[in-house]
Amino acid sequence: MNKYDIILTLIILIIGITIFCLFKIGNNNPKEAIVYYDGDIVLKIDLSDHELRTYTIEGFNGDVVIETIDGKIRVVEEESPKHLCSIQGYISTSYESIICLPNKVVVEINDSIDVDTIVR
Amino acid sequence: METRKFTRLSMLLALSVVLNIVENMVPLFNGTVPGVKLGLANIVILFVLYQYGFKESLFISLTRVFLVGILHSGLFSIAFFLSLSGAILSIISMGLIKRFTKLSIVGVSIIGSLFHSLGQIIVVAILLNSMSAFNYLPIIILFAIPTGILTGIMSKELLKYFD
Amino acid sequence: MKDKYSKIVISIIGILILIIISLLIYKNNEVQEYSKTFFYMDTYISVKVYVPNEKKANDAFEEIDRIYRDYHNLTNKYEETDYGLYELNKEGNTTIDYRLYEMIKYGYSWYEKSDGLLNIAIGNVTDIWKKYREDETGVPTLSELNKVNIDINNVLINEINSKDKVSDGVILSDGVTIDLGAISKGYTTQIVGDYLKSIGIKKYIINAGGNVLVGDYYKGNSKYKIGIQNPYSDTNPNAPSIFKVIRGNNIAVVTSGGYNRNYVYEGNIYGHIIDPNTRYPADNMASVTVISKSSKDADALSTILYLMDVDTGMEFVKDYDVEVIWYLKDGTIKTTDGISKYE
Repeated sequence: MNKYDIILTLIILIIGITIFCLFKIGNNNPKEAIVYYDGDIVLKIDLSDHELRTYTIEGFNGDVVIETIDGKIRVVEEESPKHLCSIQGYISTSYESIICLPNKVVVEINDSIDVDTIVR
Repeated sequence: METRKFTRLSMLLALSVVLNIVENMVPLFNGTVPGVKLGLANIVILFVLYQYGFKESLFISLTRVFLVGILHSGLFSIAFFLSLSGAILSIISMGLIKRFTKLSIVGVSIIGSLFHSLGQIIVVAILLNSMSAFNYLPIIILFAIPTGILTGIMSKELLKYFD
Repeated sequence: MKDKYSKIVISIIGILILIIISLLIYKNNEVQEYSKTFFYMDTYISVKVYVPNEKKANDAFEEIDRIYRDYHNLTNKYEETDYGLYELNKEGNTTIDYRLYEMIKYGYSWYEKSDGLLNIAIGNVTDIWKKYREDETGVPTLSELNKVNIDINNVLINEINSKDKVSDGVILSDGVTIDLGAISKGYTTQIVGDYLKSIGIKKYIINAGGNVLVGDYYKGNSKYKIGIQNPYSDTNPNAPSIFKVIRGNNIAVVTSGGYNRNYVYEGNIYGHIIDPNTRYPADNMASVTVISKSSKDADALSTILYLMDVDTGMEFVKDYDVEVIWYLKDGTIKTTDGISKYE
């Protein structure tokens, strides 16, 4: 490794950490999980309560079972060759997401709802 | 193309295919988190880039993607497109970096690793119609450093035997 | 050796850049956010102020609490207070607080402008609906609703200039009673906003259940982002919780809709906004949102527009410096042309 390599490593490190920080700094607004199928919202789940709840949605290969507890959400069951998204386990912050590629299902968490206030 | 070079490239191609398939069998590096990959096949690509040149490495890289597609993940499957976009971005970025900067093979490898992951993320985002794939950006950026260094050092060692 | 030094230098520069970046991210130390929640007028009221120190915030919160409490008591039809609406409705003519007098006068002034749609003399009808809403066991019949008097001509307003108690300011006859539900939250929120400005707090957000009033943005030259709730987000999980975001400073955003404070009987939904012409809850649209410089006007207008159909409303608001967003029952959204300046 020469010194240019080190500079490169440092630059990438700084960019990575900066983006990480930017993603991480959210606020404590109520959390909401959003489940997409093929880019469309199919389910919104309020994560502010701590009850265990399960939801079943239709994925590309079959039913996808989603479970929430204590502000976390995970995919419990799905039809796919490798079961990657059920192996992934829980996510709980907006910079994480569960992507079930074979089922075209994405689970995201929205903890900023990106507005200052809501008129109800 | 002289026979010696031809056989060598063929063997290297075979090696990269095997490494790619072996890597897919290792949990944690098989795409659980999109973009996080060890990139063992990149050792071969890097080696070819330094030993023979850009054209040869591009050829090996793309043929590898198609072969792995046929043999393992399925041609024109999701995994195939992920791999293809990663491979193209990676090889082009590595070629440019090698040609125009003073970075060593390790630095080139880091860049290759980074763009390989970026290419995959972009395809995921397109396939899913969703920007959430970019949530993995910090992870893949940070992960590109160790995997890039690792494959870079391994290619460097490999090159020594051929000098 | 030279190489070794350059590594150290590079590392230090890297660390410094990191520290600067994290400082920039966390730096927002000019003003701090203080927030407090109150419960008055049947709704949670959340107030956020951006001030340099806690004392200033707490002093403001104390006064805001007093304002909302006073107006809550004065406009409460169902509980005794001093010189309030309960007493006025009961007696017909009694001494009332000047603040109540001013609010009644303000509400009264909308009757003619709205062609009778905003009628503060509707008290007797809203009482009946309130009873049915709480019991959820039926719907009042037209004859029951028609029996009571809601004629605005039985409300007599005398011009009085006072900053204390007002006698003979409002005189009710023939059993008519006043209901200020359509304007009290927006009106009081306006008073609170004016108070905050008067003590030099320019950066604030007040959210009084459907009535939002914001001041200057708390940081830089940006604008507040005010989300408008999707009327169907509770019943339809596919719907996003917010259907539109309004960007602006020093504006009031008020939504009226049939989706809150309603009740369901035999499959029909009965909202809380009553049309004085039919004496039944209006059901022209899912919700209507008014953006105005004035919180009290926005509140009054949102009620009036909720009682009109969209086309009539579109004509009606041409006389006012406001922007409006209608969310129709079939999900289509209509807006006034000027809405783009808040997008």
